Amino acid sequence: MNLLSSNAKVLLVGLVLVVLQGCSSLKESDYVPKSPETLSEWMVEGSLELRADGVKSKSHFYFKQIDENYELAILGDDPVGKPKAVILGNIYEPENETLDVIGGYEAEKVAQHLQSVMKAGSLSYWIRGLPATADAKITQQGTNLAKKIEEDNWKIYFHDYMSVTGNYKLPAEIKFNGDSKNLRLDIVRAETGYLTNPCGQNLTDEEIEASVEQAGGEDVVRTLVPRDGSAPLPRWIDEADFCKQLRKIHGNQLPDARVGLYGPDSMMWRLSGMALPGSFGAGRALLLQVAHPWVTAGIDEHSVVRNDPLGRARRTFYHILSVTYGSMPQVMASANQVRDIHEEIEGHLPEESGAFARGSEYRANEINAMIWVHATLWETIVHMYEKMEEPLTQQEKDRFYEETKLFAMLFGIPESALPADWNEFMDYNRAMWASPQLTVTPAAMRLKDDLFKAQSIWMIFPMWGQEIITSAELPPRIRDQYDMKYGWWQKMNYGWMRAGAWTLGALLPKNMERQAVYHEAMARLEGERLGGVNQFFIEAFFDKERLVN
Amino acid sequence: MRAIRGWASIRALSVLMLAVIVMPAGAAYDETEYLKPEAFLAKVYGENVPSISLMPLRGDTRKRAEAVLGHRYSGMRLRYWQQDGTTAWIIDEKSKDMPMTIGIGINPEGEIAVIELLVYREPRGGEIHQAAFRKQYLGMRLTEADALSGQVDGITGATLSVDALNRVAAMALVLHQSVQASP
Repeated sequence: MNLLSSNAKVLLVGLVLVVLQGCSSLKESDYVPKSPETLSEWMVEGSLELRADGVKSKSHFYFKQIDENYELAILGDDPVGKPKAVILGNIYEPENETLDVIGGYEAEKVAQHLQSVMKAGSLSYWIRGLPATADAKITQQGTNLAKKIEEDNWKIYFHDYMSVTGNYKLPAEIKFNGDSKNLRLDIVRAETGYLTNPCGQNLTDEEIEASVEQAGGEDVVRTLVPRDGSAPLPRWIDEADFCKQLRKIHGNQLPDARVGLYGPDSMMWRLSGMALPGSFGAGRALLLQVAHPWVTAGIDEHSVVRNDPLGRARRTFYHILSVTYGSMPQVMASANQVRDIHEEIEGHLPEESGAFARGSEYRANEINAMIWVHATLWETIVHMYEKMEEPLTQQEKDRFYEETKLFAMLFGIPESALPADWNEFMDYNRAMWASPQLTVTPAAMRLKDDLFKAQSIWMIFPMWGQEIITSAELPPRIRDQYDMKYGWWQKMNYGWMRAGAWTLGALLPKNMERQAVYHEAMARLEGERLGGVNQFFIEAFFDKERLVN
Repeated sequence: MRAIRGWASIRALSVLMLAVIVMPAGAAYDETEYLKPEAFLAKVYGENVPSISLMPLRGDTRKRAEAVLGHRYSGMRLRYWQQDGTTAWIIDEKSKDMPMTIGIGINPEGEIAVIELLVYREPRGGEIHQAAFRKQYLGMRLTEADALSGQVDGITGATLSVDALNRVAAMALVLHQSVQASP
């Protein structure tokens, strides 16, 4: 009785806080989805249960369509196993479906049972909440969201929709009712593009192949940070350069699309999966980025960050986490979206800023500037991990750095333009910290002030804490330029914050040591949907139902 | 037993506190829905809106549509509406990095009769929603070179959105021609 009473108090406190924060932030904001008719490369996976002719069939499955061609794979009991039977067809020739049996009699029976009640070609539409023919009777529940479709002697009910990459919503639970037959599909996840091609299809193969890599020269660090303190020569990246790097990753290096760029055995997942180093280092990485005048100018002149600094941070980390933890199609979707955003960011510096002359041209898609943005992320994550978790060996740092090169390539940066190993990478960081390339401009100061300004009463303490942590961890020259103090008061507060964080880490349930997106990626690898508190965190922080599932 | 209960309570409170701390304010979507598809169709057809038709996007029609778009069209078929020679199209097209949804109604003479921005999903450039701007498209036809028959005065700061609207307008006219030409 006492236990119930105690937990009830905790729950009450929590509920009051949650209600005060506003119920709107508990679930993903609603949005008008794109029409699923615009999908030409997509796949969904889940489970099916069919009852017809007195027989019941159950199996996991995936349905994939590439342009006109589709395949419905029967997986049996393993949600991420290899197909045991595959129905193949063309949406324009639905009468010519074929069945390939790879793994045995049971899978063949399920596939034939399904074929006896419907064409898989029709499923290619119904599974997306679309009518297969113009004869269908459709009841809508919102723009591009069907509630019920009556077609081909089926009444098809769409009970739940899931948000997926690319502003689509696809049905998560579909019930088919027919005469003495019914089918239920439970969809776990979906991919909505980039299954066969890693980049947009505006360029020919010849144009991409003709792109010449802009290497870093014999001394990569000195190419990036010239000894005389001058600005490095700009090296712009166009769409062909970008696509060439993406193709290298997509085509040659990573065969398992479900795992994505890294996977659970990688150093990347080990280091960035821990919640505390990332959250403690976020301010440091952002202020190091903004100390580069190009980055500041790009944000100041082209971004809504001034009105919504947290939003910018959220979008930045959304893409970083999507690339780190996403499946291969999700990685490519994020890389292409970031490139599109960067493509529009160009201009001329409004004032002389350290190594950069007034009026000099800047662009977001430029190798030197992008390498700096990348460097702030990886150097910070190792710096904070070693401080808050455990020291890393040289071998582990080298391995981690090799993995970060894949990340850089996703932004069009050729491997040859990057420092060769961890030690050279740190030489580059130290050279940048001392270089006039990093100069805090008045615009950067304003961004810093906006970043640490609490947007609501609930953010006062986290923002105050983040400013002290950032002040403690920034390289001294950059901290001084930002006019941030790190005296006895800040040191004392940082001391108890680290102790508090350590205590919180000990108090939290074990599975909360790792951040929510890590758990979401693990669920994907097991063919499951995320749920519980980690789902709550993703919707609360990113305002999205899912990032990498 | 008391210690265990206390421990359980502290853990639960830690989870809730963390949840509240990470909750941000505001939504992640920059989106404005100006018009529902039903309202757009009512502008084209009045009270008698026809049922949907489906067009497989293949062959020559696909080639022409992709030529005016300047890129591959993602999707294997299009939903549209037709009645007495008037067709209506709802098409998604990317402006900067997000798609906008545009509705276009074309009269039997092959002229744009209705053009509406249904959904805009970017933080900037939504000025193309202004009626005075969209009015420029009314009466435009398709030239022999599959271009719009008239010039459109752009909007400063909304260049990409204007370009996207031009592309979709031309594509809808190509699709209308294809419907008219079909038996």
